Amino acid sequence: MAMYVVRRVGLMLVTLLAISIVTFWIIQLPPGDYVSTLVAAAETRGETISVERVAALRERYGLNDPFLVQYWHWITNIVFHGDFGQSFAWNRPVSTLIWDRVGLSFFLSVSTLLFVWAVAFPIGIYSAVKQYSPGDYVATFFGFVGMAVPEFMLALVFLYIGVRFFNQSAGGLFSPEYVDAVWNLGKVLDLASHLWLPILIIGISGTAGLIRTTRANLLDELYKPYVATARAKGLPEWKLLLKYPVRMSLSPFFSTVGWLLPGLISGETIISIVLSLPTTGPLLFGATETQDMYLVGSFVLILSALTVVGTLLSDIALAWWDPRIRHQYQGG
Amino acid sequence: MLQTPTSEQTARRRVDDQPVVLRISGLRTRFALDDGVVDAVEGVDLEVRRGETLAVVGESGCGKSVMARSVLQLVDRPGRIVGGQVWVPRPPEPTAAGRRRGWFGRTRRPPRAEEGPDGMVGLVGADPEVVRAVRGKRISMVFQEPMTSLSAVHTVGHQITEAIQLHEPMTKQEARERVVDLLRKVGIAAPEKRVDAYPFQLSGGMRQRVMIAMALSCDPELLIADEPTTALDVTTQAQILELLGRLRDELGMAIMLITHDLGVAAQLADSVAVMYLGRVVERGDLAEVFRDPRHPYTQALLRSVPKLGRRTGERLAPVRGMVPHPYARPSGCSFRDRCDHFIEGVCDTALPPVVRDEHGHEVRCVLYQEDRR
Repeated sequence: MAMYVVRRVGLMLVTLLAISIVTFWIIQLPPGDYVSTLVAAAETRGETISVERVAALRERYGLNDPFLVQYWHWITNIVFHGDFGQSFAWNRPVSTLIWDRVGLSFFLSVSTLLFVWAVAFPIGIYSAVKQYSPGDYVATFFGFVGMAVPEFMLALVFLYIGVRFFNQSAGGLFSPEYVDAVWNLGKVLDLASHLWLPILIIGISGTAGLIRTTRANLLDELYKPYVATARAKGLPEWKLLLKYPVRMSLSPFFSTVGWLLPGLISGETIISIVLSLPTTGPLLFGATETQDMYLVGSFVLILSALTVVGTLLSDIALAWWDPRIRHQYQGG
Repeated sequence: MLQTPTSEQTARRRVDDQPVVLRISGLRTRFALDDGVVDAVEGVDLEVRRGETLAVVGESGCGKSVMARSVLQLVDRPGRIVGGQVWVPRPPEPTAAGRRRGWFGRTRRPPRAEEGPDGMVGLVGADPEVVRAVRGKRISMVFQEPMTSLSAVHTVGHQITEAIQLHEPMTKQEARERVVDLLRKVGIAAPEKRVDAYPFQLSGGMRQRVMIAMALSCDPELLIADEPTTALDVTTQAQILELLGRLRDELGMAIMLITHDLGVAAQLADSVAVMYLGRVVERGDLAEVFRDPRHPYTQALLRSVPKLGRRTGERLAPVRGMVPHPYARPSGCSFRDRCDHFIEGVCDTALPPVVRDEHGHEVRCVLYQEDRR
């Protein structure tokens, strides 16, 4: 098992190197660079930036260097100094920019995840055990509706309802009177009263999807012979259900659980924009628009790294969960 | 190969005066499917006494497995028991510790089950508590597929310990020692090590031995073995049958052996019930039925089995025709369109009655009706 993990970590590093090169290459692909965005922006304001100044800016940001040199500066700074570079647009280090927003993104993702699990697993299990019962049909109906309705649509509907009927803006994190206030109980409560909505909206499609997956996975297991064996021992039905088929049906879940890791900081871009939440999502979106290359590059690199790490964690979790996988690893 | 049991064998095992451990009366199990209704079991009456081995034989799809599962109420949807009753001796009351209290500590009403003669209770329609007290403890089951009948993610020791601790007040350690004993008893080498093995680390034959160990873990009165050797190779098959026979004699339990293989039945059973399309068509002492088969179906079945000492070049006679489609079973005697003795206007009008001779040999066929001779 240890051997296996070491080998996987080695492969992971190679993958990350490849990803970083490709990332850096892709963010340079579109014509123009950050300075040309600046020039265009100045022109729309009716100003002009002199040719010397443009050249000086390019020089300062190192945009004239060959691709490999730029890449080398970027990656060595990350690896050896933990420095992700400077955001052109914000004129601040990329790492502080991201860190400022990771807290909320993380909190939002974790709460959503817990919400999704708490709702979807029981309903999914019920739906499978009572297949074709009225309850199953209701769950199936809402499952499909939840999967089919886009999140931003839900967000807009909730915003409309909030403003029209409750005279309350559903967007943002705080009510206007708390935005600049110092932290106190009132502000925390205000935050909680604003956060449940994004959690609900983001959670709905995840819940719907997970209900369908849980139901399908469990239905695959529910009528297998080992369930009959357990029943023939005299086990109470609910205990048997959780211990045997439900446990088996969670294997596919564990094999993808690591992909949640990048999701923790990717910050639900569209919903955050619609509900004007200061998560990392809108930051990334804005950065791609302005060709703020170090910000975008670092972001994509961090997300890729988390995906790769998450996949490894998934595989380890699966080995821990399922002895069949564990014993395969021990072989090699 | 069909070995005819010797008279010595059958004489050894006289069970007529033993108490009944299972009585099935008029059992009907129905599968309501989208495009039709299948009556997999259509009124089966059977009885198993202590120490007896009853073989239930028949072609695939004749309802023998469903019948066996119906005994312990293990039929999966869309199957449902729609009639009849399964009588077993009343299981012991759950111990005070094992009995769960209702909400807020209210004492719950005693579990409900239909009362029958001789202190028996009916499992059909009984409270789940009663059924669970019988499952694994009084009547246990070994299934056909040793490869998939054990959970792949729990060790075999854990799975057997669980069965023991459900029914016996034992600590984990005591139960574990018992598991090691059981594994040794069913012929597994190095049981102290195998107890921590996962099923996927064992061969098919070993897994079936584990299944048998699990089934025997609480000293059941009756073991229902549903095609226990079908998925195994011939050598392993013989070993498992031998093991079952030995354990039966040691533990004094009864066995209900479900099989399509007459050779397997002959090797282990004292009595035999032949099933065709959900009904028992012939029932009696094994030697008696094999020597003097009465029902045309039984006769045809026995003709289809190779025997030692037959002339070379002689062809086996398969049972004529095909098993009818389950949605469209013939009226009257369900075997009539494959039968060589079909009597028009008799066999197709009403279900033939059960005719019983003085030795208890029963057959469901008009050929043996007194007033027709």
